[in-house]
Amino acid sequence: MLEMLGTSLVSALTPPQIIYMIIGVLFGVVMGFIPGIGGVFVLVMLLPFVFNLSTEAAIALLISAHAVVATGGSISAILFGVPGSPVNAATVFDGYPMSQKGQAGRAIGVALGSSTLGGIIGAIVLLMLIPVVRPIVMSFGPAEMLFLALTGVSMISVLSGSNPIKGAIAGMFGILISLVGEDWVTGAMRYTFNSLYLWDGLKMLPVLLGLFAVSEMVHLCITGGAIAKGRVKIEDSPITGLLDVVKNWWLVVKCAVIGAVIGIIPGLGGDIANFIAYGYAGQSSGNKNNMGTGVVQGVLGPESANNAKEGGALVPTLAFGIPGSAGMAVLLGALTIIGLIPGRDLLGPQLSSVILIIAMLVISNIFGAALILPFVKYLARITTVNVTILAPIVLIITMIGAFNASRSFGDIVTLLIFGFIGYEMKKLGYSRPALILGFILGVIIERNMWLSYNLYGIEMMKRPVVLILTMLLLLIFFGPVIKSKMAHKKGVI
Amino acid sequence: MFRYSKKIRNTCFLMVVLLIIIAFLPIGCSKPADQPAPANQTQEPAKETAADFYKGKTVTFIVPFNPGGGFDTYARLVAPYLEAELGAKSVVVENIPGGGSIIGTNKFYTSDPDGLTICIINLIGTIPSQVLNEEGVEFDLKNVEWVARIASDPQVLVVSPEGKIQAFEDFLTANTTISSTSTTGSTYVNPVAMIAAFELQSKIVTGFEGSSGTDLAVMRGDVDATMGSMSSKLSAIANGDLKPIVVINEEEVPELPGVPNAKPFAKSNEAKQIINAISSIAAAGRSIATSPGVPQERVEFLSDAFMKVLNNPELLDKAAKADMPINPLAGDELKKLIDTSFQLPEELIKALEAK
Amino acid sequence: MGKEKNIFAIVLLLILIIMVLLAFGFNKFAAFMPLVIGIPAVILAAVNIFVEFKHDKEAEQKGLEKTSSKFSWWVAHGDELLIWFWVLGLVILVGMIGVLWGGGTFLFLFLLFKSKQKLHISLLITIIFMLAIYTFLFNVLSLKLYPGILL
Repeated sequence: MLEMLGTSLVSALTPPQIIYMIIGVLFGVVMGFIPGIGGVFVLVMLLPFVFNLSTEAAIALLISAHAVVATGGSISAILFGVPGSPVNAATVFDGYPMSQKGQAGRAIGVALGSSTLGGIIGAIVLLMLIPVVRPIVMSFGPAEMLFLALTGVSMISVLSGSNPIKGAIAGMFGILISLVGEDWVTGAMRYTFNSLYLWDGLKMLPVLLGLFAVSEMVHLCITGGAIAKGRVKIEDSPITGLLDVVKNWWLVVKCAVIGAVIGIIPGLGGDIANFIAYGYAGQSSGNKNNMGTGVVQGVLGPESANNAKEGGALVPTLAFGIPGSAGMAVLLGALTIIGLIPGRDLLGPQLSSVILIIAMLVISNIFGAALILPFVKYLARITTVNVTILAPIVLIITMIGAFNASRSFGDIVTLLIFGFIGYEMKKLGYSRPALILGFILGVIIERNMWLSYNLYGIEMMKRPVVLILTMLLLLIFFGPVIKSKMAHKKGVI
Repeated sequence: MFRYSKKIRNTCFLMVVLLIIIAFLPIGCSKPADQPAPANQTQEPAKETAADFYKGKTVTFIVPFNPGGGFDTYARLVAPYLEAELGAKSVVVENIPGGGSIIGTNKFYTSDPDGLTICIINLIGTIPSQVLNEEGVEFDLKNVEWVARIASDPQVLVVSPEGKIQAFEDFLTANTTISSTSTTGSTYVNPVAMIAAFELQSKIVTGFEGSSGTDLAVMRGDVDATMGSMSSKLSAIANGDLKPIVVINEEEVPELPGVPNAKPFAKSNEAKQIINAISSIAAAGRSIATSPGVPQERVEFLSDAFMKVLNNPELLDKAAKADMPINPLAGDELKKLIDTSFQLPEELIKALEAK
Repeated sequence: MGKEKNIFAIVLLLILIIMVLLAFGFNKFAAFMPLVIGIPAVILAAVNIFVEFKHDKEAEQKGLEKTSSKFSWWVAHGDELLIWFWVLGLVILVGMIGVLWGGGTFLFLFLLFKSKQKLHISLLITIIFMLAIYTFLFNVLSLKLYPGILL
């Protein structure tokens, strides 16, 4: 195995592959940076070019581009509060406040450092799990997914900020609007008002971009000035950020593992990995009450998870040909056309291709961060530009990105409506993160609830993974209460 | 206010200029790919051959699904070869997902009848929707111009190799569960047809995410079986994760040696009708159509180009490596096949309407 | 501020109530989730309004928050409304003549009148932006841009 690793690393580093890797990374970072065009579209746009390349070159191009999309997206999330793609949504919550405090450079440094580390850990997870993947993927059925999603819901309490009632309302509203469209279980149409656009439900991209990007841009237009309020600080250098990552390395590792595990589970969709990592980072760092005000842990958790997730997501894709996310579905299609059939072949005679994929994940993550690092200083300066020039440009680009969701004018209308809702929510203290988390989880919960009910009935509570997750759920809900009671008792004595 | 007057005048002038630009430029720019102004040419189409027409044009290849699925992969495999064969500037694959392929097919149906829009049709999803006259359907597949079939799409019933059912004979008598994505599409229409035809005691569990979700449910043993297109399951079958026990198709299926066809099992008249209907839909498979009203000459040109592409050894080699069966059929024969597949028997329509 | 807060909370409550009422019309499988989530949400939203209303009353009695007259409402919200009209204008422009031309027009007008940039600067930025979108996104990446209904 190790010998094979060595030989394929050597084969990975031939000049043509490196050139394709560089092109891929450049493309991935730039596309990830543009809101709404990252994610799946990066792969789709590369597809036509891939067919004429050799297998190795094609792998280098596709994997490296896909691996660094989340890294590129973190930059727009931090600088403008506009998530490049849904996987960067949680980065906005603390990354953007850091920019407002004049620490854009530091925040990007944190994002780059944790992305790289997370990406590498994801690749290691892929390497280690490929031989033993079967039982892991097989142990996650609808019941397990349901309870995992419920664990995710408990993160709403972390995300809802100072007002838990308003946070809960936002989360519930998010779940309700996720139910718009065709009900997959009975085929009934819910809240569609005879509009064909709403059949498949509200699309993630326009809702997300509306809530965060449009509302933020409108807010900026009203306040005027620059994004960074007050003086840009001197300690604001990416190096500080990288040091932050080193200081919190254990948290980065833990969040990366969370991301990788969520990536492995097919059907959960990688979009929630960054939220769960964000909630976890908030709770374990003891900074829970400061989350959302520009805390380093709030950037490092999700950024580490969203790059690690790709390594995890490749596990079921390569081992069974079962793509866990939309991006992986496209990658699978591309791999098929260049002649790599997932499954036993890939784990047997074609194992070197898998090693090449892993090597590319590692190298491109490192290279992606190294590529951005020298420019951070200049990027951070954007936060000092007059926003009345910046805002309309970002607004139009956001519109182009949102339109990509389903190529219908409905996307743009959705963007506007949720822009307004997001603006009012921000002003009146309703948690937008809670809404978006409810929106992501609502459908997953309902789908898996009915599936578990139809498949196992009440028996599902006896499944081992479900039991563990239930315990975890109870611990998250009642843990803090018990903890504070204990602390209280100690204080009394 | 006065010191702005000059500026305002300037601005007004500029606005007018800008408006004029806006009004006129897009006419030239909206289709930047098109060669010399089409306005002059459309007046004398008689002299222009179809080959001349496609030279330098951009052809839109609509896929009514998200990128990454079976239909998308077929379209992207064919597109570059088609581009060369047509002499077009480019063949752009456009994904228009939604409503289980209804939205994309609607958009295709209402596109300009110039032959520059083609679409890969999901017959097993759209034919029942059209026959049942479901909400949202704006297309009439009886009117579209059929270009060619890329591949037939045999529908296969798969079980887990470790499960209790290992043969179709067992499946017919057992109480089974079948996984499905929703109440449309191949994972639903097929089992409904099977249940109606063979009076099975099966329960369909809907709500799984995509065909990967339904397959995984079978592998895990959550359900006993699932049905769907063969090409999406070939790699799982080759890996030994899924075991095919019966296939529905008009012709022999060389990819699945030793797997029985469902036809001989159908004993009653009704059962035969139902299985025949599904099998002709399966045989029509992954087919290409162009908008209704496209000049016949262009349809023929497209059809010929497709047949040449689908016999190109380079493409066949790639397809074979990717486990993607190719069995082309030209437009006329395809049309006959599809016309028969519209005759869904009463029994099946009733079963599908019941949901 | 107080008034706006209440209006938003009431509108939200109304939306939630409508969603719950509509859910009663679905079949029992489809209705379960909207009801399980929707009914508690309605209750919470109502509680929230009550709490805030009470809070406002107390604040008012202490004289911390003045009841706003019509005039001061415009002073406080005129800017917001204006920006939202701009955004609405952008959406309408884009709907009519597409992302490229609608967006370009919007950018030019916004820079000129809202940001109070000089004419040539606005024009320059607009042209650079439109060229960048056109060549990079539209031509090189052949990304679909919304074409608009008039074109």
